[in-house]
Amino acid sequence: MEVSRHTIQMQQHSPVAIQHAFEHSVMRVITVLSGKIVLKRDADANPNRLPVSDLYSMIRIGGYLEGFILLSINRGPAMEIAAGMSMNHPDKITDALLHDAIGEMVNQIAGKFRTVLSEFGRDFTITTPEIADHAPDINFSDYDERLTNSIAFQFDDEFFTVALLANCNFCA
Amino acid sequence: MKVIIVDDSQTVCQALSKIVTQLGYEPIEAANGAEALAKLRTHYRQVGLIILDWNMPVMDGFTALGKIKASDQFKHIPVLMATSDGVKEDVIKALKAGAASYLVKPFDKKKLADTIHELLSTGTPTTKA
Repeated sequence: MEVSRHTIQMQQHSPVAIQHAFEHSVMRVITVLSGKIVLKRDADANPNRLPVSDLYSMIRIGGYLEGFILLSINRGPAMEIAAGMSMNHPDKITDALLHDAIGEMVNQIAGKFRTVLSEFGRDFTITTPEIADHAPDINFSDYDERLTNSIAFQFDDEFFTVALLANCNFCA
Repeated sequence: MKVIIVDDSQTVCQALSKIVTQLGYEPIEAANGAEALAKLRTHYRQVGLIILDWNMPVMDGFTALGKIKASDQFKHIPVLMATSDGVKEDVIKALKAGAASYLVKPFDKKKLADTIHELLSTGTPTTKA
């Protein structure tokens, strides 16, 4: 009994388990925020870079994991999610509200991811989100390739990408 | 009756304000704990609930919760913690510090509305959120 519990715990600390926890967190948060079914699009994924988009939102993480969570999204799907989040008509979404909404999206993704990992006894800190209209100058190769991944998602005909770039202080 | 909504995200404030208005209450928005305490000093006689985010600049929600519960004027007002962080230790810490309930973002709007309504009716939720 003790051996199997230990084995499960080790698996939960593996980079693969961390990646699964991250994907789960993204899909859970965006599904609730968009009110749509969110699908992962493996065919469109490039694990080593972010696609060019209209908007980027970034949160720094530290502690058990050190690195970044990044969202890359075009204006159209961002407007749709922002309208749903703020309960406004899309016509009422200003640039300021759009930026606030994509910051809040990545904040909620980071919060959910932190919650999931904390259930395995691992915690990390998160900063307030930073928003930009150009890709942040971050080199994917500076981070653990077992953890670092850029994942493409789709709801309706809209696409966006969320990336985890991290080094793990406790991974095997 | 008024509800103070404390969140540094304008998106979240607008959504919560709409839900509170739909329930028949008057929302007052604040962007951080310090702003919430200032508005509470002005409106506390009419305030029936405080909805409080945790991670905010200037003054975070946990610090604000401590100040609210340490005040003879404010401590009777129920506080609903509403944050993106659902780490169990943080939930326990908030409830021990006097929060009436704790909701994790992204919100299920019906559950949120039910919790707000229950807290404004009785001061306590029928179920812990």
